[in-house]
Amino acid sequence: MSVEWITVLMFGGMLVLLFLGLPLAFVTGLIGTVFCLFLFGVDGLQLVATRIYSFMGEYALVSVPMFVMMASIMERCGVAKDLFDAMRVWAGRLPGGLAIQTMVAATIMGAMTGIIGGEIVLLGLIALPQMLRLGYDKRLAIGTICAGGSLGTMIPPSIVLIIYGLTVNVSIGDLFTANLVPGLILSVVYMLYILVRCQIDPKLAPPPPDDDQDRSFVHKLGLMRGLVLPMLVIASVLGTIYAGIASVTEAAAMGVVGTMIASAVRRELTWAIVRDSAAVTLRTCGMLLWVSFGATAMIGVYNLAGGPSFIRELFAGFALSPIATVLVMMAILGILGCIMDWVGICLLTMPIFVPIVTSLGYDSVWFGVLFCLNMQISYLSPPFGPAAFYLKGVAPPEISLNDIYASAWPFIILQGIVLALVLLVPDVALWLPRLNG
Amino acid sequence: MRALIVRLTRAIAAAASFLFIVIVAISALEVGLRYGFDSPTIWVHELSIALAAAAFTLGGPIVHAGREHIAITYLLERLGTRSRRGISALNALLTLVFLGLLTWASGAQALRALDDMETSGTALNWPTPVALKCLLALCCGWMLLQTLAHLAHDLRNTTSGSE
Repeated sequence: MSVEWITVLMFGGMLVLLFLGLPLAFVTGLIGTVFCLFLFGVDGLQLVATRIYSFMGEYALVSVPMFVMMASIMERCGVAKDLFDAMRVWAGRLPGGLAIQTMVAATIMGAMTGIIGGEIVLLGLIALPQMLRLGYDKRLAIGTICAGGSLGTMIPPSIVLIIYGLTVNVSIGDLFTANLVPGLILSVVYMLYILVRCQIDPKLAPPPPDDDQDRSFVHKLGLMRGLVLPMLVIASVLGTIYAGIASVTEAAAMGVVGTMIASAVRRELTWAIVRDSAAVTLRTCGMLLWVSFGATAMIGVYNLAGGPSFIRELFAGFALSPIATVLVMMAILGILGCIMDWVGICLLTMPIFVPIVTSLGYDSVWFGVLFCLNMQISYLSPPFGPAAFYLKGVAPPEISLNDIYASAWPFIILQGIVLALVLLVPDVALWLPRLNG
Repeated sequence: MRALIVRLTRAIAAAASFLFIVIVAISALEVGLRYGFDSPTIWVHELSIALAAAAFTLGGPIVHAGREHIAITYLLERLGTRSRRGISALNALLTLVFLGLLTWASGAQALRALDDMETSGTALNWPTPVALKCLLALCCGWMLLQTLAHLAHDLRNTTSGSE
């Protein structure tokens, strides 16, 4: 069988099976094992088992459950609620103040967590009812929560970047550093959008009643007190990674310890919280890792079948300029993002794309930032938009999945704008890691 | 029988999630020993990887027990009951093919590791590869059985006419 046909059958088959509702882990795994059997015979199947086994042996991968657990403990304490309340200090009488307050809280939570899901659920429970009660435009409120909650993997730490770093073998510390500024730009762009829209059309965001606003400054400062320790945890986790004192995994494990201490000081830590958080971590990692196992099997077989060089020649054959090549890749990622989970996309495409990109003279850290931004879009884009699913789970029943997707598109455009910015001006991402040496 | 399996799965899930707590504890110990007493260990690194790998592997069947592996159900949910059942059964068969092949491959891998009593080849030279490869094979086999049980359950529901 020629490599053209293998490519068409593997990826075409993948799409068909995905739409039939077969779990992603089994789709990629099935295609990997079946093609392996046909192309390389029974002995070739060993390749699949070996790849899965060696995938698990990476030390940096241990940081994934640590970051998930840190987030889940933090979510189970009152930190998120306090954070949201405390951010009222910044909202004041700004147009769309409550939505901006939500976005600030989401950004800080993004710095505490490296995953999405929990954050969207929390904002859906805390911020959405408040915005709806004040009479905020439904779409603006929903979009704010989905886009803001997705910042969890954009603002470092980020498990998307950890998996990317492992897949293409670049420094996770550098990826975190590079992602910081684009992540913050994205968050600021969201806030400006909310501000401008509410300035133009004040009906979108009615101001809060006066008694809500006239709290004293001391009261507002009091709200901040419970946040000091959680903030210290974030600062110390990220600080030790950036300063190179601890490995990403150790920093993440110490983050869990720090989070436990912080919630113990707040008198919220119980054994049940620790146990439940560990249980959630197991499920989350079970899903992520088995998708990875399937994808690593499939891409391993595709590699042996000569796939990467075929794709490289395909790109070369189109004689695209380097920037157009990257644009085509972004488009492919965007399309895959509509139907697949980011882990699957990362493991399937990055081993092929990144060597092409670096051979064109681009930086693989920069491409990692682009990938991460692209995955922000994937959380919101239908039909497979994880952010929408998470919010649907906790939103009032009259809000349908279609409402949520309809609310997301302005934010998808904003994500596209920031993606274009980083694409055209790589230094937006790269100046900070360069500073670090 | 079903109740026993559910309880067993829960017990294993609890034990597996406890592994993460152990990783947190030993990593904290390592950092404390290194910066506090200037005497880093040689075992924390290797043990963390092994424990995490074990938990990741066990996570597969634990998630599969509740059929919670990430899937796109968008189209499936829009189909009529009959076509949905048909496609679900097809999906179960495809899953069986994959897990069958993977159980075979990982089983062969485990047997080879057992034959040589493969060790990690580090300073510690623990037999972690043997343990993890056996665990992977067991988990694949376990998921294979789970898929059969899911399929049997669905077929029984179809014939008795209930949803």
